[in-house]
Amino acid sequence: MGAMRIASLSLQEQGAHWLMQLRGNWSLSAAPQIQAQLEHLPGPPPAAARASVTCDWSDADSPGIGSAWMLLTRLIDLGFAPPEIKHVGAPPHYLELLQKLGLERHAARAQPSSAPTLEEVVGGLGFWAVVQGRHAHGVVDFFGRILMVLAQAFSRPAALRSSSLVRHMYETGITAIPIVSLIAFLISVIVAYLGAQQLSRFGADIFVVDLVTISVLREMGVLLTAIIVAGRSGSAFAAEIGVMQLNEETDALRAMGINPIEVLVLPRVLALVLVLPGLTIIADAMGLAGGCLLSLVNLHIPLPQFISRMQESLAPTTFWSGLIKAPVFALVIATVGTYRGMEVRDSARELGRLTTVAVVQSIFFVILADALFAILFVQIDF
Amino acid sequence: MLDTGFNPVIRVRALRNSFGSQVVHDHLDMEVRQNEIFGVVGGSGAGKSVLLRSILGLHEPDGGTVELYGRDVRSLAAEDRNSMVQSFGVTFQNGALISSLSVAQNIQLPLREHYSLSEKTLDELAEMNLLMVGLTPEAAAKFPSQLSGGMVKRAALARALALEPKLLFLDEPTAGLDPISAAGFDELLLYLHAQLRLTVVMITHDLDTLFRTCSRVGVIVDGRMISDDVAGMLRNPHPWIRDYFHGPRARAAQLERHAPGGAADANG
Repeated sequence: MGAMRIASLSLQEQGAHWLMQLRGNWSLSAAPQIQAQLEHLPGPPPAAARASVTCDWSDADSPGIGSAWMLLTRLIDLGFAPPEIKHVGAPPHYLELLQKLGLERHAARAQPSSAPTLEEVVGGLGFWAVVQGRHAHGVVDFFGRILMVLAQAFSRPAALRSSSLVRHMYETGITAIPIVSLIAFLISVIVAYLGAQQLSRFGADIFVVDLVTISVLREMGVLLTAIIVAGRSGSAFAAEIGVMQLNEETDALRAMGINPIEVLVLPRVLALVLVLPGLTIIADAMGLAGGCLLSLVNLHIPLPQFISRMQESLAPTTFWSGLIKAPVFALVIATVGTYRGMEVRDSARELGRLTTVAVVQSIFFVILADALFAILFVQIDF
Repeated sequence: MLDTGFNPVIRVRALRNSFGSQVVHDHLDMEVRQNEIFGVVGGSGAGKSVLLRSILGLHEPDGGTVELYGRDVRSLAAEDRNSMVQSFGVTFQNGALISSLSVAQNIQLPLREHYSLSEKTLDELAEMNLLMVGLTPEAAAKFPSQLSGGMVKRAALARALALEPKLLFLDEPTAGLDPISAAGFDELLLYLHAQLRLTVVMITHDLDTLFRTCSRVGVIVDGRMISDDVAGMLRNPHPWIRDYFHGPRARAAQLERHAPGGAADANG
């Protein structure tokens, strides 16, 4: 490869006629320099309507299509009519094609394009509102379909798809046990540790037991489990069903007379409703174990004392007030995950977006539901 | 700078590819000459795509050499290999447009990667490539999922042309298109081939495309390649080639080709 001469462009103005001498490397790799030179061209000559330009290519090395196009479009934008642009000196062979494209470009450009008006902005807002309304309608509709299929299952047990149900129970439940256990244990240790720092200043170390048992059983056990499961299984539901949507597998099921809600959605929803209480109980147990261990090591509260204090601090409803929330959270996570999965259309990008939406929304709705439960339990003194 | 006048443009010698115990290519030779449209055909599983991937350097063959413009692809330094990659354009079977980018951004992707250009220039170049493949500028802002099958193929061709290659590889460019779109694509290919003086290597199952566009055809049979012009292929006694070019579908395609005022001629 020899050293390439830098692209240059010299202009001679002869009244309404321009003579352009193209020199040096005019391949695509010189496009940045060519672009800069073209931008420095003066305005169109007077009497632009009758102006013409001649481009001399005899000294241009390996001219590229892109470079020629940049020159051509710049000249057209400056006001030269395409027939008034002449080429001499062994111009590249594709100029004929480019001249033709230049005319098409002009035709395409002539079509009006307007900035958004107030009307369009208001219209856009209304459109957004309608879309949101449809979304809300869609979720209710989807939930209704799940309930309908569930109702049918009472008269037709085959609709329950037991093998699929068991598989999803395994995937969402059994395989989640290690991570749920670990996180419940660690969070409980952290709460107990920080609580002990504060309470020991009042000599109230023993209340760490109350802190741990009540917070783990009422709130943290179930909430942590739900959030972990939303991240693990909510995203998996959305992604699995989303990919099936992209492959037209759900359409294939419908075409074979199989209801995708029955085979894809219901097993996932039921599986999660069944396993989340179990996972919650495990998280509760691991949380208490974590609190117990920290009390023993850090506060020197022996195990029998921890247990007796725990029994004193617990109301009969404490454990149940946590556990009862689990199936509701499961329903929220599974419904949101599968609904977003069924919404996937067209592209890999949609799949990623809706999987993210599924996780974020299911966590949000879980926390919202938790807040409603908190108010309810206070009101009914549960 | 690559010497684009080199003849043959592609020379494959004694290529060998196998997957496990299954031998796909065994001593496959292939030559593609300057400025021709070379069609590659073969049964399903005959290794057409593997051959293409071996030439492109996407697949490491078990043996043999692949020369592009007289230089062995595998012995090239990384930098030379990079400039070699820039000298050819490729379209994949399903378009392989990046789904998160608009059509214009897809076309601009290789330009952005290799040159620093202003947005305005990039838009101009994308527009040129779109016009060149017969798409309207309105298609520029669309995403791949919003395009019809024919438009995806054209947009993929526009992206392949973005770096102004002299050598174009097309993997089943008309697969999945209706006959009218496919015929339109054939005409587009012939037009661009003539205007841009491209050398084209095309894998195809479409006999209409083969008869309409290809100057020479290479058939992969028994792990080797038999190359000839279309007329020569029609006389070839090899049983598979005879079945391929004289089966009911092939006869229909030829009939159309030779009948005065047939569909292909009407478009020409």
